[in-house]
Amino acid sequence: MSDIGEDELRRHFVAMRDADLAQVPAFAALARRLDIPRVPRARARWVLAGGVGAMAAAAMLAVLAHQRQEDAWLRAAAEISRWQAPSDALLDDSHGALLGGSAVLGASVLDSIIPTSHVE
Amino acid sequence: MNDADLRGQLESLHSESFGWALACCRRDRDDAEEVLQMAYLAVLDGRAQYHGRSAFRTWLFGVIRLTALSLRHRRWLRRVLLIRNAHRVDASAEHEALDAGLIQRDRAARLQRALEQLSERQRSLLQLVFYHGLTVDDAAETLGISVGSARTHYARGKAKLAVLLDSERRA
Repeated sequence: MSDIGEDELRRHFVAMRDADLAQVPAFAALARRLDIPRVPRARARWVLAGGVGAMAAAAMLAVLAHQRQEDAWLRAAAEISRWQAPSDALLDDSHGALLGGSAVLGASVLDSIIPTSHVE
Repeated sequence: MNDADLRGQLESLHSESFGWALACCRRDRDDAEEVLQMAYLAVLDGRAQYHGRSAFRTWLFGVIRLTALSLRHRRWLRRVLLIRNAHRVDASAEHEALDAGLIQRDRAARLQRALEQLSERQRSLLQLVFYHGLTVDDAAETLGISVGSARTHYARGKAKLAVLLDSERRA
């Protein structure tokens, strides 16, 4: 057994405590490092939930915008297919004038228009 | 408890907390400061919440202990993963209290050497009881162990420490 009792032990710890107290860093210095702006936990949860919601909404909007763009493309394609050139009327051959008969040498397309009875 | 109250409590216990952080960090001053800062941050940003089930000091010491443990585990993991040997200079000797009397300093140094030969649990219990003045029951709560186990470790640690200090004195 040792001769050291509880009081002696306590004195040792007091000595250690005094030595430690001499090197305690200032609370203010530690606190300054902690003074970064913090968001309370409950608020942080709401901010997180809001962020997730905003991201979901943005994704939905992106899908809708994409669909709208596709519709616009389809409409444009349909309009292009309906479009008719103004010179299409020149191709109208309902009287069969262009395919009427075999071509005659020296004849003109104007021959059918200009009456020949007066020419003698 | 609002932010200002918490800050006030932390400030009033700051010196005590530093002493406990030193004990949890094997008397490494830099580590103790880092642990204290991490623990304060955990308390202030609500990651560690005080529910009033025990004294504030008992609870805070528990937070500091767990913070020191997590720091130690992280460092161990980093060493294992990186296979890096951190040759750290033991700075504790440089931080000896210069103002304290020679006898006091000698006592503190002898105690430190003796404490290093105890198991971690015995060392923590004796530190909490003799240094911080906690009861064995409160110390058990801080360390997260049963009162029965705490009493056993306390008694064995005290006896062993007395023998170690005695043999140091005789040497």
